[in-house]
Amino acid sequence: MKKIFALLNSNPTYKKYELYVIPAVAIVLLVGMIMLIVIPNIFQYFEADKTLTDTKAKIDFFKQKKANLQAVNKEQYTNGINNSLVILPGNAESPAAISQLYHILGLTNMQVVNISFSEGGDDKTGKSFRIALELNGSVSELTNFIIKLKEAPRLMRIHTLEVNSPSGAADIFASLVISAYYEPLPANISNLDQPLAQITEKDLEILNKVQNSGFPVITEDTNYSGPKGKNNPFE
Amino acid sequence: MPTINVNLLPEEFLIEKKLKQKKILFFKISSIFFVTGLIITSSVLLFRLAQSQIVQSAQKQLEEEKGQVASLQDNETALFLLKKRLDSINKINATESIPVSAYNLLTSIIPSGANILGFTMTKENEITVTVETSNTVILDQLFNSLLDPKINKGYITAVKLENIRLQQDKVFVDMALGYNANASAQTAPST
Repeated sequence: MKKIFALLNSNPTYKKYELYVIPAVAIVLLVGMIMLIVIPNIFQYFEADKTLTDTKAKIDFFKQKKANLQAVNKEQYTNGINNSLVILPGNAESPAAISQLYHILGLTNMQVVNISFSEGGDDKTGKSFRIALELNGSVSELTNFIIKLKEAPRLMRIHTLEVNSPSGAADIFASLVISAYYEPLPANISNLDQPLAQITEKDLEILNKVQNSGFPVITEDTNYSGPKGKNNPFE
Repeated sequence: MPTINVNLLPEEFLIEKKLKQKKILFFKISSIFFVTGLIITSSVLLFRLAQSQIVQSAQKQLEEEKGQVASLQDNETALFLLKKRLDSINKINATESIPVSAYNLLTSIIPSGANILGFTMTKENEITVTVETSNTVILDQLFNSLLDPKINKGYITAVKLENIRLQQDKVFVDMALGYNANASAQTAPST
C-alpha cells in the first residue's frame, strides 16, 4: 500500500489531480449504485405492485367462487342433470325416442303406417337422428300430434312435413321426418379459473317439463343385465 | 508598542497546508454523498425485500384458495354440466319447426269452404300446396289471403299457380308458395 502511494506521489499527473481523485471515486460509486441497484429496483417495485394487485383480485375471485360452490345443492343439481338428460340425452337413445312417439300416437289416435330411421347430422341446432313416420288420421288428430310432440319431454322437431288428403275424404295421410336431438356429454369439464356458471329460475323451469309433462320417463336401466338393443342403431 | 508579525515559514509550506485542508474538505463532502447514496440504496433494497415477502404471502394465500376451490370440484362439475345442457336445450327450444309453422299458417288463412288436399314442405323456403273448393268466391278470398301481407304476416313471399282444374263441380288449385321463416310483416309477396 505504501509503495502504491509512493509511486502515485512521484507521478506529476497524479500530483496535479490528486485533489479530485476521492470525489471522482465517490461519484462513480454513487452513480453505479443508482444505475445498477436503485433504478432497477424501482421498476421492479411497480411490477411487483401490479402482481400484488392481480393476486389480490384473484384471491377475491376464488373466495367468492368458493362461497358460491359451498352454497350449491349438489343433489338438486344432480337431479337436474338427470332430468336434462331425459330432455336432451347424451346419445341417440332411439328406444326412448320411439317409446315417446308411440305414447304420443296413442294419445292422439293416429295410426302408424310406416316408420323408419336415418342418421340426422350436426346442423346449427345440434346433433340429431331422423325418424320418418307415415301416419293416417284426421286433421285434428294431426294437429294434436304436433302439439303433443312439442310438449313431450324429449326434444324433437318436425324437419319435413307432407300432408295428403283425397278429395272428399275426412282422413289425411301425413309423412313426417322428425329430428330427435341428442348431445354427447362434454369431455372437458370446467377450468378452475373460469367464473362459475349461473343457473336462473327460468333455466330450472325447463327441467320441470319432465315432471309436469305427464309422460312416462324412459331412461336406460343400468341394473338390467339381459339383452339390450343398440342405443344408436346406426353404429 | 505595536507588534510586528513575521512569518518565517516557507511559502511552499503554506501552500501545502492549504492543499491539505482542501483535500480534507473534498473528502468529507465525498463521504457525505457516498454515505447518503449507501443509505438510499439500502432503504430501497430493504423496501423491495419487504414487498417481495408480501407478494409471496399473497401468492401462498392464492394457492390455498385455489386448493379449496379445487376440493369443491364435484359441485362445480355438476353446475357446469347442468348449465351447458340447459343452454343447448334453450338453443333448440328457440328454433321453431318451420314446416309446422307454415302448415299452421296455411290452415289459419285458408278460408272456410276451401280444403287443403296436399301440403309439402321439404325445403325451408318452399311450400307446395293443393287446395280444393267448390266456390270461386272462396278461391278469390284464398288468393287475397295469400297475397295480403297483413293476413299472411309477411311469411308468404311468392305465390305461383301451377295448375287449376275443374272436376266434378270443384276447383282444384296446385300452387307453389315462397315461404320466409324470418318474416317481416311489411314484405309484399310477388306472384
